[in-house]
Amino acid sequence: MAKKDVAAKKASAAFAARPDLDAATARKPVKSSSPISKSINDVVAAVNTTYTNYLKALTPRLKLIDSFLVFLVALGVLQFVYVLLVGNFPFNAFLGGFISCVGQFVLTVSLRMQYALATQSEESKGEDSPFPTITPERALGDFVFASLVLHFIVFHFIN
Amino acid sequence: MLFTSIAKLVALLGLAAYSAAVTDPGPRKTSVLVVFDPELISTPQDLVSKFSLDQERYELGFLEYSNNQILLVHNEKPVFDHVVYMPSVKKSPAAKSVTEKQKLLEYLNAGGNILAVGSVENSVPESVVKFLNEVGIYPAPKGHSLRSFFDKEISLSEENLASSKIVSQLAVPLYEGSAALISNSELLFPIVKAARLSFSANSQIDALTGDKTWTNGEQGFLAVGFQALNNARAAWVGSLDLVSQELVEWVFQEKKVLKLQFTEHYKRDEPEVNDRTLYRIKDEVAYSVGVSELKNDAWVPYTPASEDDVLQLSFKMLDPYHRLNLTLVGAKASSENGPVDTSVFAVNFTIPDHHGMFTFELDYMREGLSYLSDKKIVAVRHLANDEYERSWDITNSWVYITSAAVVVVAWLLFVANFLFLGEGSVKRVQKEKKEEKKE
Amino acid sequence: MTPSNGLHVETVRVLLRVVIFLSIAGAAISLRLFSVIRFESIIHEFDPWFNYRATKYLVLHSFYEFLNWFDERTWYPLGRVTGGTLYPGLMVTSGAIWHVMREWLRLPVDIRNICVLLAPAFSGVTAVFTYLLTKEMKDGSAGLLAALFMGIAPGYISRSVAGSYDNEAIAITLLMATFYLWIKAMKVGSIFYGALTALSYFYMVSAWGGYVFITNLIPLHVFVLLLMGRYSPRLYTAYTTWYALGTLASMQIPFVGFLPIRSNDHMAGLGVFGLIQLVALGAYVRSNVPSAQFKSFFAVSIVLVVSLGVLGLFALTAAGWIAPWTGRFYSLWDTNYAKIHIPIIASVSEHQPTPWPAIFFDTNMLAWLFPVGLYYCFQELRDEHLFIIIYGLFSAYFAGVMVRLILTLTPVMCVAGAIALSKLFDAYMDITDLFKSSGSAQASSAADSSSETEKKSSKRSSSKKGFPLFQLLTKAIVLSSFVYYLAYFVMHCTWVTSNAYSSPSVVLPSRNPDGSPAIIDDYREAYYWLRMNTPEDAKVMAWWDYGYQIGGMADRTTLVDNNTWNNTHIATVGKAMASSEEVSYEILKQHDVDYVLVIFGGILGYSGDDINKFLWMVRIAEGIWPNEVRERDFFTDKGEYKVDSEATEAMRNSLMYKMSYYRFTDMHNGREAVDRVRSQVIPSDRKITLDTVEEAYTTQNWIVRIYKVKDLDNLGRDLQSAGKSERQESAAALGKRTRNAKKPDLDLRV
Repeated sequence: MAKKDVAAKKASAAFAARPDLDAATARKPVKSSSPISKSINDVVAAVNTTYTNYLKALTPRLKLIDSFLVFLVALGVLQFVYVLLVGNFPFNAFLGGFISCVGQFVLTVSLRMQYALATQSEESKGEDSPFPTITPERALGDFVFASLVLHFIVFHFIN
Repeated sequence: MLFTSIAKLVALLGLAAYSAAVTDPGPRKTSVLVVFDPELISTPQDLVSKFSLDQERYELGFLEYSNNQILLVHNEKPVFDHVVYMPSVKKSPAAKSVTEKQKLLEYLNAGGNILAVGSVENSVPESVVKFLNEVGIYPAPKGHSLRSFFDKEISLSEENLASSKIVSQLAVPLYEGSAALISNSELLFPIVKAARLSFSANSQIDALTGDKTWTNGEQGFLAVGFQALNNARAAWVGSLDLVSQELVEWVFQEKKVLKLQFTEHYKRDEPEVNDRTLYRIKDEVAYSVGVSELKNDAWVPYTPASEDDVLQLSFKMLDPYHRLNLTLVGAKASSENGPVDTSVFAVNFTIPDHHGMFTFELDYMREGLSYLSDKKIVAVRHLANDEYERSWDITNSWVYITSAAVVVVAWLLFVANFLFLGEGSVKRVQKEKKEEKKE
Repeated sequence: MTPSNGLHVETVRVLLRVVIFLSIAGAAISLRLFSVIRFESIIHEFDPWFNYRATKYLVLHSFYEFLNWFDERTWYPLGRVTGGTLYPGLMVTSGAIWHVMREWLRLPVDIRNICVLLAPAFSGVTAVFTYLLTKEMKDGSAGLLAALFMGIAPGYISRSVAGSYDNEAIAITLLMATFYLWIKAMKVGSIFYGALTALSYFYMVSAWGGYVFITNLIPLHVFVLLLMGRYSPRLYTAYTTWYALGTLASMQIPFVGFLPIRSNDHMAGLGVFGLIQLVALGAYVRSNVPSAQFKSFFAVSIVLVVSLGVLGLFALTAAGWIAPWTGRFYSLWDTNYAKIHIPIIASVSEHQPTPWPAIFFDTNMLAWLFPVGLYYCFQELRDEHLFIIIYGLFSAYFAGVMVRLILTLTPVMCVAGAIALSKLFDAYMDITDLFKSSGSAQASSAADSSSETEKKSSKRSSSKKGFPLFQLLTKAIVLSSFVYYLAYFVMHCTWVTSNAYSSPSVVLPSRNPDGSPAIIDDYREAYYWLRMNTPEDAKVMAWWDYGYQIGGMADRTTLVDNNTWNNTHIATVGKAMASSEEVSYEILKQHDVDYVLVIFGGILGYSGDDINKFLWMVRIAEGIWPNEVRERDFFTDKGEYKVDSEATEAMRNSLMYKMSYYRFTDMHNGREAVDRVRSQVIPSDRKITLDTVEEAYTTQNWIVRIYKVKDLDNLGRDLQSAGKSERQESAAALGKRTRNAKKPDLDLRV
């Protein structure tokens, strides 16, 4: 996934640890220590492995995609915070702005998946490739098409 | 009598006079038919002075109750403008065509005015009484007179005026006549009421019981006016003594007659488009009406007599959303180059924030005055999709617009960069991967 | 395929398919033209009249005006923000076709003909998409079968005959298109197809309220796939693209507005959208870490996400941000819900639970092929088969709840039925193992056209002896029986279409005493009378069923119509109909009603009349004014609904009863006045009098009776006493003299 995911992962790992701890201590106070610490360790380890693998797989294009994703997430969060603070009066404008971020985000993630997998499969040519018919060029074309549709609707929606 | 033989000719004459009155700008000459019983009134011409019927102004006709050849309504138009019924000895005289209830209803509905005069001994014919009953006036039966144990002689003064709107002064030193009960109909205007200590009962009976009296105290009325929804007027008086010039003028629609000259409504920012059928919510609207009053045979601007008589507009859809007093803003001429004869009343208001079919309703019902009513239905629509506040007018949404724009810009940059990175990178990636694999 | 003449066979195949296709489309369209041939080119039923009127408005005005159309001729005096409360897809489609025809092709077509023929035309397109969808499921031959079924299945025809210009006419086409594109997007994993799905979904949203079905079905499909552990990046791509674009696009329809993110009906989509993000993340992590680690990671995050999601949903609903489920939604789960809480919904016959015969009537053999098809889907159970299974199960349930939803069931029945049948044909028509020597390409390729194969196989069986005859015989029997079923199916469809679904219901078919066909045209007679004899701004009150027709055919303002958005207003009309004259008159005057229109079938035996609908009016009115209108008052002590001499006081005094039976007994000239719908005798000794309305027009067969509301009495009496005195007068004229010397009983004058 993306850098953002890593960041989010860290956060969620921190989050995740707590309820688990609470739940486990509440239920089984006797043998609590070992499974909890194990699971925490697991999670941390998972994050670490993911992160290292991620860094390894990074190419300039993917890097570009990822920075774009981070940017979109930041923008989306910013708007969400703003709406919580100020109130959602021009609701359509908020939705337009927010959904354009979200929409662009998922489109880009899809692109990234297709792209990453397509480039991988070019060499491995595995039969189990999830995108049998999609070449990187086509992925980009699709992506541009869908994004254009998205932006058109967003601006129509805002007004 | 002169009339009896050439009834049809007179009918035509009446029509002619009627139509002439429409075109002739001079004083209107109206036709009056007086129906009487020769046994009670030998010289009907005496009535002319009693009623102060100016021969110059009225086309007069006299008809005996025995004559059944006159039509009240012809071609759905009244043949005579006014009909006066004098008491009759017979309960159901021969003149069915002018006394039947149905004929009278038809006559009134066609716009004719009716004056019925009662007396102690003899009332108007029974069918005319039935007509009065329909209207809501229940005169005491024959032989019932207004009496009192406290006063030998009943005199009537201003105190007995139920309302001074129609008749302003009253002085009858000795009242000998009948009384009536009236219903609660809103179209009835009591003019003279009986004294508090009076009652009406048959003069032969001295022992009074509840069912032998007809009226008691102030629930008895001696003169009652009535104005139908089509502004035709009728009146009943208990005695000829109560007939005054004021009353006759009112019944004959010579005073207290109003005319609605126009009603109009328009958007305040587009005053040139009158009576549009479509408004938008929260529009600023102006509404105005022109009203004239008939005075001395001429239309003059109408001025409400008091605060209570002010004209009101309701702007309603099922329920009134606005109920506004109209204010007098001036006078103007109803026709081009005509005399100034119309008062203009107007009000400005904002259409409520609610769409639907609204009615501009003017409903003016004041005692003694002609009714004015007018309904104009308009549609009030919602804001169109481009009439809402635009996003860029709302500071709040600038954030979102900017962000959406930023996304687009970033996206463009992204795509450009992506392409710029080009194939080389792909190959490099592959190389890298191969290297990785080798490792 | 045999390599030697493969190319040739392929060409033949394609050609054959095209021909078959054309004939299917032709059959589908011509089948739907029965109504035009039997009656005329006329808009049918109720809702289509509104659509037609709206379309006319669209082509006469601009699209902008249409979008902001405030209709002052309906729902008087409330009016209707029509532009914001309709699904514009249908009107825009036909408007566009009209413009294209006029301006590009220079064909001066009447918009009415476009409206009438739109549904058949789109049914042809539906067949195409059904073919494509089924092809994704199995293969081309199944696709052709499905297209054939789709073309002639009565369940779909019922809503798409010529003249039934309804939203469903194009919505089913779009439904199939959306599903096809979704399957395609899901299989390929392409953003492009995802975006196309979203666009098609947008079109669907603009055309029919049933889009909620898609909104829930696709997320459900994805959800089930996720549960089965069948997540793949393809799924992520297809779903997120569809959801993000589709949701945003659907909010562009004014009527839908913010519903997709506010109402619970739409929450499934959002939930699955969130879920798939997490699953994608999880999958990414999993691909990089050992499974043990992943397990704990997985467990922790699942607990967290689920609890947060549920809490959030409750909180938002409680805070009023998200609208709770709507009434119609509840009525889908509990068939009694509507009856108890929303009589207005229950009163529509389309919303009744479906009886079994109706399903069989509408789908015939598909009803039993459908489970077989589902079974085959289970056997293979690829992702797309799962979709058919979910779709089938859900729509089968919903179709059982509401009659009108058979419509959504029909396509999946066609698809599943075609899969089953083509499997069967594949198995039984496969005679290659019998004739290994000869090139059997034709035989297998001809699976589409069963009769052809039939001939060949029989020919061959005769020519080559010594073969396993028994086996052959079995095949022949099975095949021929299915061919028979198919033929029967076609017959059935034709019969159903021509007899049950081609009646415009504006015009009723009937027979003369001598048996020759006749047409009862009372509705149009009455509407034409209204159009010609009443002032243009006259307000006509009628039960809401006839609102659209009055608006469309008579062009008069109505109080309520088939767009039942305001229950109170409908209840007001119900109250006016169910109350005595004094009460009704006030309502009539308050609403400026000029004419009242009732449908009465007692002369002809037309059972869809207002007296039969009367109880719904009472019920709906009772919902708002429980103290003034009581359903109990309209039943006799024995609990019967009577209109004869046993009819209750409330019944006899109601305006509806009076208007229906006014002068009914006079017409029978002393014979027994039998109401032929209810087979009850209307007592002739109790004369029905009407004081507040007067009869204005009654059609030839008394089906439509129009009454004019009287003005206020000029003398200020209430109309009852005026009418009473008039009747007394005429009684007096007949010799009964009434004495008048009695003192009147009057209230105190104040």
